[in-house]
Amino acid sequence: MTAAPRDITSTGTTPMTARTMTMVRTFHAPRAAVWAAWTEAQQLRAWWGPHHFTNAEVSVDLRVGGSQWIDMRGPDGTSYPLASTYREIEPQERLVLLNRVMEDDAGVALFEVQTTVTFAEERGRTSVSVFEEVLNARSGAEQHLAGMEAGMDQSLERLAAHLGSIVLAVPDDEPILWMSRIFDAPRALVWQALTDPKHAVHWWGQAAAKNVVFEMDSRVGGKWRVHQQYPDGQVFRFRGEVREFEPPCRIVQTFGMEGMFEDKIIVETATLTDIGNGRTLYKVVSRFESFEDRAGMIMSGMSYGAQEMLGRLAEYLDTL
Amino acid sequence: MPTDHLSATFAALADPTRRGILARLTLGEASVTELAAPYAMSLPAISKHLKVLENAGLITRSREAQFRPCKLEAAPLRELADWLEFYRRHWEESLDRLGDYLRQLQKGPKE
Repeated sequence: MTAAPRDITSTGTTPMTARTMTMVRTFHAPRAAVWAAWTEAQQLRAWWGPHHFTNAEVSVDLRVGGSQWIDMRGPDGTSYPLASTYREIEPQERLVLLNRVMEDDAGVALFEVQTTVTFAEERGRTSVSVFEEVLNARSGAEQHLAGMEAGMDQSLERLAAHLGSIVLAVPDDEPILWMSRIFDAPRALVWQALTDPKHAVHWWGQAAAKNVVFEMDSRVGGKWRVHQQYPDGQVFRFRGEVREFEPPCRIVQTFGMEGMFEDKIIVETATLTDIGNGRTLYKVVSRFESFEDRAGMIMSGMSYGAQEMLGRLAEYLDTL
Repeated sequence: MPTDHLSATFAALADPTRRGILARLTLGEASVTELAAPYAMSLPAISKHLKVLENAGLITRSREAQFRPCKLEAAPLRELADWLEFYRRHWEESLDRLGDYLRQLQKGPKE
């Protein structure tokens, strides 16, 4: 099977063919917090829906057969009501909802979607998988269905911001992983913090390390070089080159680490999107470009089997 | 660290059957027959997968025992897991720190 080429910022989601969709995201937050965000009305109200949308009213009756009601409003004030019934509830594990979208006064929905959300703990992070299956759709639903994937993707970005977390995703069909985070800062400032070495030296890298060498030549063809010293004295050396530079929204550069994968660089594409209210969505897509195709497969399989297995193995190895 | 070695690890892990075999071996040594049991595959097909894992240094097979049980070899997997974890943490922590830094910048005195 050959997949159509996808945009580099693709979302790690299977398309709505056969009217099903799977989306897997990892949050840097405990599972209990992610579960609560998904099942408490006040919290759902804060994050549910695409960027620029708000929720006028949310109610939750968390029991099997109980209902969840969200009165979502578009930026122009249009109401997008979502009436749902809980079908299965396994606290902190699994949630199944039957959603009736855009129900009219006679109780007829434009379409119905069954959503299964599973929550898995993964080394201090929480991996959330959303599976959606469209059960019936009346004519006129197409436009809404087409927007469902982007809507859920943005909802999960907002959930991450609500949790004070990044979002991590590893798509199935490409050798990439990506992370995003919403910052409470205007785009111009985020751009400056990213590309000006005076600023970048303050946040680049793991907190435990000190940036003892920090050079950054932010322009196409410019090189960057960072040496990081860890408390145990160990020094890691990183370097790369800027390939594309489009202020204030896009930068493409390579990432390499001396003594590790020297000939197998990672290409990082960072994009900054103004999402309103002085906030900026920062997304970095890491493409394992020069790895073998098959290596790409392991990277891409990480969201399911391999990642879980590596986690299990790491735990196992710790016991040796 | 020899990169060819890591390529072999990546390639060996690309197959779900081989990942399954490794997962089984985290529970302890096993014979080919035991490893083949969950799969609708011939023993020679399983042996082929084992050969790939063995060449990648992910498993070893005893030369002495009659059933030549397979054993998980930790080192290459640890390298891979450590490296991926390192790269992930690098970005996760950087983005957290960038968030804090941007907050500080905005709180600071206007120039």
